[in-house]
Amino acid sequence: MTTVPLRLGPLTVAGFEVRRSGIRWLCEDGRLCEPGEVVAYCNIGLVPSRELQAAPQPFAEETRDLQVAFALPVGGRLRKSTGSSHGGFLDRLHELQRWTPDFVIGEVVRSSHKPTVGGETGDALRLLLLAGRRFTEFAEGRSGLLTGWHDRARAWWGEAAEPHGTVLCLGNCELSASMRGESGAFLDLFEGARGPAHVAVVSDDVLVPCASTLVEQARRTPAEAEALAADFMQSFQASHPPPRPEDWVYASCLLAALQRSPLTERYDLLMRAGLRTAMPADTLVVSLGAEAQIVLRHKRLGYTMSLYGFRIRDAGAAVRAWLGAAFEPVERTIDDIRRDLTALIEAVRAQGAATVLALNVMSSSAYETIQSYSSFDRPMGNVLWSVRSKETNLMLHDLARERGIVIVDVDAIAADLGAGTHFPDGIHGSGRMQAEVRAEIVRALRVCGVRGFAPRAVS
Amino acid sequence: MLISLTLPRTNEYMTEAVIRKIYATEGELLAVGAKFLDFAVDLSARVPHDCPPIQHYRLAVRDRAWLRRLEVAAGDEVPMGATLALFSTAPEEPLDGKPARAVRVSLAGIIDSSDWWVGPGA
Repeated sequence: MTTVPLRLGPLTVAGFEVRRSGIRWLCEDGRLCEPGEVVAYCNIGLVPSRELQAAPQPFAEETRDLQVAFALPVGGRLRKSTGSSHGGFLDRLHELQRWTPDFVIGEVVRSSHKPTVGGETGDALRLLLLAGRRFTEFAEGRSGLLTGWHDRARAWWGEAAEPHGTVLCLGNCELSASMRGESGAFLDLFEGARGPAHVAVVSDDVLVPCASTLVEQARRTPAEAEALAADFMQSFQASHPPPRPEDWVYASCLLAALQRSPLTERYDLLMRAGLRTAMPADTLVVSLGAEAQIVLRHKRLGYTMSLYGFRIRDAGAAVRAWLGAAFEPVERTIDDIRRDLTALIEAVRAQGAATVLALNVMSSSAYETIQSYSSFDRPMGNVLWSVRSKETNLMLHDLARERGIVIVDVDAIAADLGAGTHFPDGIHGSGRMQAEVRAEIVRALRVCGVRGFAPRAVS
Repeated sequence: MLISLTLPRTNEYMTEAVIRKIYATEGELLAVGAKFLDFAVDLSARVPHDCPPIQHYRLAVRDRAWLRRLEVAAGDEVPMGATLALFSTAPEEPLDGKPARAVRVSLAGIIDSSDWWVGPGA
């Protein structure tokens, strides 16, 4: 029987002091843990030296939701150090105490020699870094691991020597839920990504990341972004009825999202040995579920948005008045969606993204009983949901042949598992369904040779 | 022979539906495959969703039958299993008897984006 102390290990950034909160544990003392299991986490703060205080700060938009989760280097019985956690706010304040490499948060008692994760031999914990960019800084939600209302959430391992790749996920709630997993903090996904993986998920809460909007965001000039904001302010200030709080919250988050460009963003990465910058995504995961039949086009400025109808209904009367007056609904055919996806693929390939994965949609219904299609008007893709879904999925096959994208066959997974049980409302999958989709995505990333998703090494 | 139509289940969580459109009128002879009505199922009150699904369905009849009595109108909210209509296989069949069976229907999920955007001030 051997005891392995769980040391924080180094985490240094030139010109900054790395600070942290107390440790929050994710499991009970005495638990028999697997190697690689994430057992605890804390919040992280980077305090600049006097010389750097006026300089642009790393993680400027993620300062309050930057965390590190600790994965065990070895398996065994976990024993927590009594001084690791302070409870209350002291386990949430990101600048509470200095990060000291020799600090021991606990130990693992091993009954036999078991393989270490990824071939490492030291006793230092493996660091999974997590960062959330809030819709607004007021959206405080530090109750747990990567909790809060984030317009973008991401994670990466902190040890890799080689450069990280970035997998950017732009889809609907089903894609983000599959990637973030039951914990909401990517833990299941990073079980299958032992190398220099970096995964970012963009929210669809306010602005749905559909292909046409993403391409427009990437091409929008600063002057066009200013014109968009000025138009919004002018319309909203003159709004009848006057905006209420719910209108302002929705509209400001929407405006902020429109002025960003997920495709061209660079990322700060905190590593054991310092800061890195990851370039714009080299792998894209998109979802047909985010390609709505109807999008809104601004009548004067011409930009498009995809919004969820139920969000608009919740947003407030002023938002609805603005949308109704300034935008026109545009119904998209499958060819239109194909054209938009093609433009997106070309845009990301032009900036160096080699791999594009696309999730198709479920096309079967457990309760549908069609004996004859003569009852339905043609083209049936405009009438029948299942026909449109199948035609959209077929379009994706054409795109895959022409553009070399990879299809994640959600339709087949749902059919295999049983849509009635695992897609009971036709939209939201069970945990099992999400796990299967996630596993398929990881498998595809591995086959495509995406950085960080190489097979797990066991010494 | 009298045959009846009740609101079918389309989803495990479904409890009611809203009648959206009725294509037939009382007294009309419906051919096999004729469109009968569309309805919407809103699961938002039944399932705690971030994005409440509203699904639309169409019923088409698979019996040649006369529509004798409509029990619902467009806009009605009706519970699952409620009688929607009474049909007969002969045009003058008295309606005071019990239905011999359920009318055969096809059920299909349809695309209806008419209420996606409810308009300003709604």
